[in-house]
Amino acid sequence: MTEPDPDTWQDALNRRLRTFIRTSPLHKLATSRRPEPLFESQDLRALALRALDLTIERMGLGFGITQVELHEELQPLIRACYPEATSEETSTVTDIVLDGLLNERARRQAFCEPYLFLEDEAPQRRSLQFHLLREVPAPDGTIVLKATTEAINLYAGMLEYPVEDAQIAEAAVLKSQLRRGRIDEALRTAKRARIRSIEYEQKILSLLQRVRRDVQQVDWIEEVLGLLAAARDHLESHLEREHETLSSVRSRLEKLEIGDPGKLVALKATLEECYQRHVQLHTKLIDANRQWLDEQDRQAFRPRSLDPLPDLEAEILQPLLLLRTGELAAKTNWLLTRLQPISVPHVLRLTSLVDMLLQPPRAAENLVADITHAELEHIGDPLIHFSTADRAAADDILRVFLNDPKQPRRRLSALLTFARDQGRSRMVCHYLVLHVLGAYEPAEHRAIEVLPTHEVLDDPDFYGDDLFLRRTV
Amino acid sequence: MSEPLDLASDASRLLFFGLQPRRRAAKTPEYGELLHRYRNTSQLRSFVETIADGLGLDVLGATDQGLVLGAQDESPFSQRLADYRRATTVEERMCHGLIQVAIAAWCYPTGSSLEGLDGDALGAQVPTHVLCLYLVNLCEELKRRATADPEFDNPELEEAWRGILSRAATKSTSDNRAAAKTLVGMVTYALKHLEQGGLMRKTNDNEGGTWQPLPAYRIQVRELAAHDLYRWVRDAASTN
Repeated sequence: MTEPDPDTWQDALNRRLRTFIRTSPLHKLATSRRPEPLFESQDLRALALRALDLTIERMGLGFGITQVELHEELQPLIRACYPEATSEETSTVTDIVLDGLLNERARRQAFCEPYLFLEDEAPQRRSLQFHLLREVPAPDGTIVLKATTEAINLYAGMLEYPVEDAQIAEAAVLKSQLRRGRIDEALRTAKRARIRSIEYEQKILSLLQRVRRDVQQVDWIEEVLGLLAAARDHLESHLEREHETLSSVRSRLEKLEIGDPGKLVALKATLEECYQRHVQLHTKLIDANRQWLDEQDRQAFRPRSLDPLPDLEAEILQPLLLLRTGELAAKTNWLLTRLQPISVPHVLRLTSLVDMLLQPPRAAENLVADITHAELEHIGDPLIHFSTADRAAADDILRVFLNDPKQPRRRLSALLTFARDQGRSRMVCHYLVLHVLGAYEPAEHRAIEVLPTHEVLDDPDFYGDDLFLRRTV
Repeated sequence: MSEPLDLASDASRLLFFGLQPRRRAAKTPEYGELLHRYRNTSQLRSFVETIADGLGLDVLGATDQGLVLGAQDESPFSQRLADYRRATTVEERMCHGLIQVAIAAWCYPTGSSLEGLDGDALGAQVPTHVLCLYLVNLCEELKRRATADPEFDNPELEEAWRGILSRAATKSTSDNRAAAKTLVGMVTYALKHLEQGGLMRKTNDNEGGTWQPLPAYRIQVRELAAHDLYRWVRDAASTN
């Protein structure tokens, strides 16, 4: 929208009205509070402004503020109004404030307020769309809240004057205050200048981001190149002014001239932060044209639809609900391909499976489970396969067999033959075989030692390896 | 190694990271460096997009956190119902598909919200119960306007909204867990699947579980789904 001549009363009215309209979400917050003592003691508008203040502050220091940090910062203010508030209650209040600033109720769509716009005394009905807060991923992946340029402008209390003019004005005021030794006032002006620099940074970055998203959204040659050239000129002049002011502050600090050293240090830190921000922005602006050429190159061959994007709710979902179930069911795979993430096929590697199975079990911590013990029912005594008599007969046979001093080491095949010759039953022979196999475990001390012969057992009833048997000492 | 081979190697490596949707460039320096080169070097971009196309993938875009890949139809990477969830009846299959559209419509109801001129801003929260109520309310409105009787004993010929309403009436299990075949169970499953695929993040357990779309989800819906959905709806309307 082209700004009309700033000298007319219509222009001033339009600016003031738009600024006033942007406070409407805060007023809606005030009316949305619940009739409970916790909320009756709070001023949600004040909390919302404090939330914006904290967000802008953190944007200056980094990328924004997380929701967790905002909860922590607002908690003292909430408790100051209602000391009995629990952590859960303070979180509820903060969530309501955040939902109001994000327009969560309208699914984070832009706030949309109709208003009267005056052009040459002819009223026009227009709609003002704006956001106040956004949630974005920071470069390190953390999700943070950031204030929009509309919110920063609203917070700074300006009437939509171009941010460049505001910066020039504040720089002049700051210089005058320093010259007159008004350090307290200079510090306040520097803080306003800092907010202004964040606003300016957001303005430039938003433009560059639009280009990255879609070069066709911007008229680079006619519109953007001119804006970027003007921005570079403004920044170069502003950097000179800032450098001059910084030098003056550093000089005062070194000579401990007029003013509280603590406040001078704070003033220096604020000015240095703004200076660094502008230097980085200047670097981005110098590179902007090359980036545009790269983006154009990248996007030139991207197949693009000439149709505008549809309204998914009104133009897609509602008509689909009227289609036949069978028709929709036939398109399920087609829908899943487009609206669910890619499915990466997994390849089974046997070595990975074995490693996974051989991993030691993870130590479980703080397991809290209601273990219901099963009610067991006695169904009878366990079945005995070998009777006591069979076991005694087998032990007797084994003792006699291995007691021959002439044959300290004997074979299993010979033991079974001996047992049959003694008239022992097949069950006794079976028990003897199992007893010998049980004695094969080398780790435990056994009454008999069992070693392989590496020959096949020659026996009519049992198959396997023949074994050497020897009584141990 | 000659330069084209180096580029092919880097492009393959970038796709290797891109195929791990929960991998973040901020936490993997090599990924971040390749992503930066992808966004600023047309040669590497060409290689990435060509190799991806050969694999049946489309490079839908990139965020600061990674590449956003979409699957072509019949690609080995495309999500199929058989791998997604067991659905025995035609109504269940319809519900699983329609729920995907409902989630996208909730997050980006208008074309301008799908456009994403606000950059990488995260979308609105998606509370499971609220989304189910939203879908049921839409269906209730269609029911109020309905003039024709349903096709009894032939669920394939019934309008989809009837299937959604009957699914919403399906009770959960006695210990209040949402069974897989209830509307809430299906919505929760879809959102969890989107989370596992790096398109959503879970924010809290309120309202049956609340998720939030990440910038990659908007890119996928905008670049892969929106126009195709519109063409399908337009063609279906002209046929019926």
